[in-house]
Amino acid sequence: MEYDEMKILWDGMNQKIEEQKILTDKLILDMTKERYENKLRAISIPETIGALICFALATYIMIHFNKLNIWYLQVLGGFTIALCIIMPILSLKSIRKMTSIDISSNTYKESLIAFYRNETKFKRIQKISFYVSFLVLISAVITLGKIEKDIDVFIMTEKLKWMIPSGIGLLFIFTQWVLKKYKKVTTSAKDILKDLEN
Amino acid sequence: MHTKKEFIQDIKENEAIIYKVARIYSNNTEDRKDLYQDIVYQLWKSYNSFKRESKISTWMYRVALNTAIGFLKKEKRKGHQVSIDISLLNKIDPVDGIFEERIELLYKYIKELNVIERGIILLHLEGKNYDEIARITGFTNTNIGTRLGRIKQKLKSKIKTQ
Repeated sequence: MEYDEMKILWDGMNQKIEEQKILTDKLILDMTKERYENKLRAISIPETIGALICFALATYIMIHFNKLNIWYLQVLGGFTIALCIIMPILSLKSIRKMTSIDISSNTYKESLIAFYRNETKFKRIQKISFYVSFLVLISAVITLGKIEKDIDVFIMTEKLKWMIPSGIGLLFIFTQWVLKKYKKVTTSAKDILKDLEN
Repeated sequence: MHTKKEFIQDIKENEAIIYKVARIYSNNTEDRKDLYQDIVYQLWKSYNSFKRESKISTWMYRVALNTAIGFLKKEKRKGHQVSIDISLLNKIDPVDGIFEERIELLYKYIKELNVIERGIILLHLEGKNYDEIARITGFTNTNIGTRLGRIKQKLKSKIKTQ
């Protein structure tokens, strides 16, 4: 199929489409109603649920902060609270930016540049979030262990002997998975941006 | 201030644009339906900012293509849909078997192009001249010429190898 043949086919299809108009007034009106814009479209559901869990965890630790009676547990508690607040905010902000392109006045090129730049930033934040969430998980387990069961993991030397190496091993596997997952996505976004600049 | 009646009229006159963009930027009927609605909604949302300084079709291509960019990555972020009967959207598909097969093949080749190329080839197939394509896409006329040359070459080699 050469381009000229494609063009003939396209024109033929256009003619058939023109003959078969399907939209009714009601259908168009239904599609324009505000209630059909799902606000959750702009903010991804998994990220929103994740943010709510993080905020709940931060609030819980703040309420019970006085139970963390040793300085290193207080540092870990503070670290967990800070990350549980900062990371979801950064993530949600970058999603919002990614979906806030001026659809009406931007040209296709401007929209593509804005979209792929924002997407690259979002993916970077998401990648960092994955690593950070691993650290948050560890610090949250230690902090909650103290708050809930009054356990200080740092004095359980026998358990630390196997917990530290297995934690490092798990972190290594996790890191490899994250790197593999995001390399492909960011490479394709970078390729598009490079092409747009040509 | 434009009225709903004017909007409906404009959409009806140019519904083929929405259909073609939705078809090129989606991979299945469900996605096509979703993108179709999204485009109509975005057109309505920005209808008052359209000053009629350009042709309505130029503005519609711009909004539709810009909406489609975000949609490509939004496949898992679907929301509520108007209950359009899917068969209604399929009705505009050509009914002639062989012709339909060839159209399907044509769309398949176009969808194998990257997001920049898809937009440009769509406008070119629609018979837009370089000036119009430039106004919609923001690329220079020279750049469009170069890109079109590359796209045609790419399509030719794709078709040859398949």
